[in-house]
Amino acid sequence: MIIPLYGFFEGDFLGLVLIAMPDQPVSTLAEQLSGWVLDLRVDRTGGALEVLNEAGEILDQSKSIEEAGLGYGDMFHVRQAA
Amino acid sequence: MALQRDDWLDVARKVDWEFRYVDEREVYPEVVSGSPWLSHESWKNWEEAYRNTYREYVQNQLVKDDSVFAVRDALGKAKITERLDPAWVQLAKFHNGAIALGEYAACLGELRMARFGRDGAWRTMANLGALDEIRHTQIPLMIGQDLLKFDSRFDWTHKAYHTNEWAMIAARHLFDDMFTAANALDTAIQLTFVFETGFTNLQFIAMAAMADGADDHVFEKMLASIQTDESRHAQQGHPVLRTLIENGGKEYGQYLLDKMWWRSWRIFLALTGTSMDYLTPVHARRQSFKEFMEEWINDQFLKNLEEFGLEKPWFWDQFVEELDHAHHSFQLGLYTYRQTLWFDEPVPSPEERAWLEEKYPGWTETYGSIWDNIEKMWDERGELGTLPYSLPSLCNLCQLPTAFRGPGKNTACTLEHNGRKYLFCSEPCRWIFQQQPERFAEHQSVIDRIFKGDCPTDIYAVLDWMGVEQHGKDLHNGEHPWRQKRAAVSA
Repeated sequence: MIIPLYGFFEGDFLGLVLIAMPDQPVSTLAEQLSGWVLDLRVDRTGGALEVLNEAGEILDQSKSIEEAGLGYGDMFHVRQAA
Repeated sequence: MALQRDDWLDVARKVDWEFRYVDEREVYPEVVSGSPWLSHESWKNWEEAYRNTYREYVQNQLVKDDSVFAVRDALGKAKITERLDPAWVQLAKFHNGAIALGEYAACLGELRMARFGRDGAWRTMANLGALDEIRHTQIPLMIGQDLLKFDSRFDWTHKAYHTNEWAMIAARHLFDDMFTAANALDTAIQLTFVFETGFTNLQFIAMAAMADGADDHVFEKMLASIQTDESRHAQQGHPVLRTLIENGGKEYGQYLLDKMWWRSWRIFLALTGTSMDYLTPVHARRQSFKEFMEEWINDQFLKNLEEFGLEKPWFWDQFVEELDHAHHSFQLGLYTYRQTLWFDEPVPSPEERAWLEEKYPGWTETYGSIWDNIEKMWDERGELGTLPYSLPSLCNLCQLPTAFRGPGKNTACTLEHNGRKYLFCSEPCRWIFQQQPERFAEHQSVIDRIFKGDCPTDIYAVLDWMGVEQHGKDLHNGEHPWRQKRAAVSA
């Protein structure tokens, strides 16, 4: 089952819809969102990408979306580490 | 000897009945008249400050109509695309589509008050208000019709409200909450006190001044003419709110104020904020959107709240903070998703950027850098490089894109309700939802509809579903004079 998630890239001005499978790794969310945003609306700093849930907790990117606690309609943040 | 105006007006405008074979509650059911339900005894002192007879109303409207028609006859035949700034023409399309049939919907709200308002004077005033709203529909429709021969997208003056275009879904959601699906008491406070007294001064008076500066005197006359009606029928809100508060309804009055302040702010920053600071030619900008908001709404409307002993809305600090950035973020969203609009969007020129930095210190660092990247994409990859690859997330309350972050801050949040996760652009939108989840939970955003299969997923099929046949585009078709000049210099 595919689920919608709402991604917010730090420094961007709006959230974007991502369609994901619950068993895909969290790292794919960072890759997809950064591919849409970096260089177009946010400058690339070269820092590693971090994925955070709505509460601000950094997620383990090797885990699946479901294992990381993200489900239908959740929001998440991606940022470039300092 | 004929009666003088003042001899009969109070009797005529205050006509009421004592019911003999039906209960007052049956004539004015609480569900349509409003809560708390009060007997007419509580409403009998309902008074408006400026009184009108029907004869005066008709005479005044005739003079105002003649004034609009005279300007239209003198200037309406001139080709709009030749006499006006091209960005301003987009503003006219945006405004006409967003406003014209919303006014017609407001007629329903006025008529509900004309039937279920609790005092004769209130109902008399609302009757005139309903006539006003029909006029506010007919004038933009007439002017939009005149402009069709120059630009066929002026058909959105009539069409917009009937489409699934995302901004119009947001407008309908707001207006349903404000008046088409509200009882008479709520309508009086939400529509006439908060929206019309608080916000539409900005839309009609300030925009009329800018239209004058932009040499669009037909638009100027239309807005100014509408505003004089708004000022009169907006009077309904004050005596309704006063009666509510005098009868123990202060807390409810505060709730309606807070709710509709935030919702009005959302629609105003999207329409008026972006129009004033991005679609109006720099020479015609009398003040920035923020300056107008501070003068017209923050200062003047707050005096109204003091009069009733009401507090500033609880989210006031966030509202004030958003004055510096929300409509700038929204403008970037409009430009990025311009294909979903019925008008074109500009990239701000160097002159406009300088003006924005002067009015909003720090704009260059926060927003100018994003516009730099958009220009860079035009240089390197052409239009495709500037278009989005994904849909924006939409707020489940205001239905607008979640695009209101301040520098380094994202205000979006979620809520779980009845096993479903809802997304909101901000805490106030979530709070409004939480107050009446049964009212809002079943409304499907465009994103919800896509996931339910009610709306196609392919971008061009989505545009067809929205009714957008001629897609909005970059106002200069990517040939920005300042970029071409830069390229020539570097070559």
